Amino acid sequence: MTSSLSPAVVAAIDDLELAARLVVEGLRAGGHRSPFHGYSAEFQQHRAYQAGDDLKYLDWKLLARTDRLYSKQYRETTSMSVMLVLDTSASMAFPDSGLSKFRYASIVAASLAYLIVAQGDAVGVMTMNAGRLGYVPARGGRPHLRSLIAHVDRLAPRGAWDAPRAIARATELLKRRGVVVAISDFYDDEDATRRELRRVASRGHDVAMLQIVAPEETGFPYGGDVQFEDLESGERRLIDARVTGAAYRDAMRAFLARCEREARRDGIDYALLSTDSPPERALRDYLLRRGARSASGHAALRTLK
Amino acid sequence: MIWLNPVAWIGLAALGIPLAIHLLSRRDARVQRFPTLRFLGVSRLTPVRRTRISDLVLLVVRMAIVVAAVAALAQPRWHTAARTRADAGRVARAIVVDTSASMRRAVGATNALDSARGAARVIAAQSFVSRMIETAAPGRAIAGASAWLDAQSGARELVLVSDFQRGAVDSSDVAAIPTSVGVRAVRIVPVAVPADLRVAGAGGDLIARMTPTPELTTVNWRAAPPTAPREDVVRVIAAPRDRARADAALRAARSAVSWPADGGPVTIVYVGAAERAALLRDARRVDAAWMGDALARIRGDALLGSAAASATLVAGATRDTAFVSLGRSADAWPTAFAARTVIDGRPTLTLFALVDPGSLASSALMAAAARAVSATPPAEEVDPEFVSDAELARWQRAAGPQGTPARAGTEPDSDGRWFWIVALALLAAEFVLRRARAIPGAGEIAR
Repeated sequence: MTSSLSPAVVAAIDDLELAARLVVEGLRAGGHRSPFHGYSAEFQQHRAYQAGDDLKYLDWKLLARTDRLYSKQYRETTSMSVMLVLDTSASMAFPDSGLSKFRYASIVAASLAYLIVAQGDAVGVMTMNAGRLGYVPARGGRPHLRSLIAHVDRLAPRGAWDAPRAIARATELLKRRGVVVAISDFYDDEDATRRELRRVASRGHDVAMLQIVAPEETGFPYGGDVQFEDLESGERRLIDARVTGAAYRDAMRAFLARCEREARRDGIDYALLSTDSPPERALRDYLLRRGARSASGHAALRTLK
Repeated sequence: MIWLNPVAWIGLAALGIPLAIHLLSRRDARVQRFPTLRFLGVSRLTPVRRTRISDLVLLVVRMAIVVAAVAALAQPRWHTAARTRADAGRVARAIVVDTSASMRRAVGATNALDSARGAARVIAAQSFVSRMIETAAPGRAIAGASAWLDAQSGARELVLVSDFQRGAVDSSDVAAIPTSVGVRAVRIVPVAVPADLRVAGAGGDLIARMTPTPELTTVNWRAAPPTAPREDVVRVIAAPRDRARADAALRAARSAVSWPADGGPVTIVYVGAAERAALLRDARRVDAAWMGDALARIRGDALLGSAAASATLVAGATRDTAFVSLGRSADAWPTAFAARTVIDGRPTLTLFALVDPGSLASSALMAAAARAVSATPPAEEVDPEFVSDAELARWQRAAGPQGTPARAGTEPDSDGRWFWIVALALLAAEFVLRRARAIPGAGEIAR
C-alpha cells in the first residue's frame, strides 16, 4: 500500500519535476502504467501472397530478390503521441493560498508526461498565454521530458484562453492519430470546447478531459456579504453568499454533471479531479477507470489486411 | 449597589449608535477572488438588506461596550458590610453652639456653655467632617450652617447644642433647614440656680431672687441698699460741640433702662470726636466672646431697631464694611458699626456711631449697649421659657440616608473602575471579532 502525498505536501514542493516524479513513483508502486494506448503498425513478418491481399502490402523488394510473392504483416504497437492541452487562464489560479488548480494541473500534466515517456511514447504540451499559443511538440526521451516539465513550470496562469483553438492546434501537431488530453476547469466557451473535443474524437484521436476543480468551488463555503471578483475578467459582484450558496452549489453540480455526461456521450474520457485529493490518488483512480474501460483493446495485435 | 452619578445613565442613548451603524451602513464586503461568476449569475442575487441586523455577536459586543462605559460614568458603588460600617461615620455635621447668656448657667461643676462645647467636640469627633459655630443667636446661624453643609458630600446633619430657651431657635429657623439635611438637637440642661434681678427704686433697690424650674419659677423679693450704677460701663466720646446733646441722650437712656452696675466696657464714639480717627485706625474686629454676645443683643434690641429706622446720618459719616453693623436706617445705612479697640489699656467694645449724638437713635444705642453688657441677665433670661421636649423631637430628623449620592467627582471610592475594565475587555473582543470577520473565509465559513 503506497501512501499518497497530500495536496499540502505536494503544494510545498517547488520543483515540478520532483513532484511529478514522486507522484509517478507512487503510481508505479501500484503497478500503474501509462493510460494511453495508441495504435500504429509495425512490420512483424512476411507471409505468402494470397489472392486478394492488398497489393500495397506486397514486399516488392523481396520479390525482386527472390522472385516470389510475399505480403507484409504488421503488428500494432503502443507507441503514440500525446498532446497535453493545459489551461493557463486566470481561473486556474484559484485559490490564492494553498494548492492552486493550475499547480495541481501542472503536477498532473507533468506526472502524465513522466508516465508517457517512461513507456517510450511521445508527449508534448499546448498552452495559451495572453492570447498566444505556446507549445512543446510531442517527443520522447528523458531530455525532452525535463524540458517539457521545465516549460510547464515556468508557466503562470493569467488572462483568458481560447480552449477550442488550443485543442485544435494541439490536434494539428499530432502527425498521426494520437491522444489529446485537455486539463482545465472548462469554464470558458463550454459549448465550443465540447464541439472541438467532439470533432477531435471523431477524427480518430483518443480524447481525455481532465476537469480540475477546487473544493471551494464545489462546496462554496462562504457566508455573509461577499464581493466576488472574477479572476479572468475582474468583474465584481456583491452578493449575500449565505442566501445564494445553495443555488450556486446546484448550478455547479449541474455544470459538472453536464460536462461528464456530454463527454461520455461523445466517447471522450472524462475525470473530475479535485485539488483536495492527492494528485497520485486522483491519477490512480483515473488510470483504474480508464484501464477498466480499455482492457479489451489494450495492445491488441491486429493484422492489417 | 448605588449609583453616585445617576445622571450619566442618559448616556445609554448612545446605544443607538452601534445599532444605527449595523442597520444603516453597508458593511464593507470582503473581496473574494473567484474563478468564475457564471454560477453566481445564475443564483438569485440578493442585495444587502439594510433592515436586517447582521453579525449579532459583534453588535451585542459593541452595545455592551457602551453600557459598560455608561455604567462606569454613573459611578457605581457596591455596599459591602465594611463600607456600610464606614459610611455610618461618614456624616458631615455643622454644630451650632449656643453661647447666649443663658448658657452661662452652671451645669454641675462647670457651666452650660462649657458643657455644650464639650458635647460639640464629641459630636465633631464622630463626624467625617464638621464645623463648629458658636453664636449667641443660633437661629440666625442656621442659614450659614446650612450653606456650609450644602457644599459637603455624603450624609449631612445640623446639630444644635443649646439649652433651647425660647428665642434662641424657633420652628421657623428649623423649617429653613433643607430637608436633605438631618437635624439633631442636643439640650444642655443647666442647673436651675437662682438668679437675682435688681430693680432700682427711688428709696432703694429691690432684688428679685428668681429660681426657675422646668415647671415654674419662684420669685422672692427683698430690699437692698441702692447701688450706684457704674458710669464707665458705657462711655461716650463726642466732639465738644456735641457733648451736651450726647449727655442728654445718655440721661434719657439711663432713665429707660436699669443701668448696669458692671459689665462692659463699651465706648460709643461719635462723628467729629477728636479721638475717632485714631480709634478707627487701631480698630480691629470683635474677637472676645462677651463682645460677640453684646453685639448680638444690641442687634436684636427692639428699641434700637425701631429708632434706627427713622434715623438720619450726620454729615461726614462714613461706613466701614469691615466691621459689624448695628441698626439700619431707612436708607439701609447702619446707625453704628462695632469694633474692638484698646482704651486705657483695656479691650473695649467700641461703637462708632453715625447718627447725631442727641438723636433718638443715639439714645437707643446707648440703652441697648447698657443692656447688652449688663452682667445681670435680662428678666427673660432669668425666668426663661424653654422649647419643650416634644417640640424638639418634632424638629429632629436623621441625617441624609446612607449612601446619599455625593456630588460627581467628590466621592473617592466609586467602583467605576471595574466597569472601565469590562469596557476595555469588550473593546478588545470587538477588535478580535472585527478582525476575524475581515479575514476572507474566517468566521464566515458556513459548514
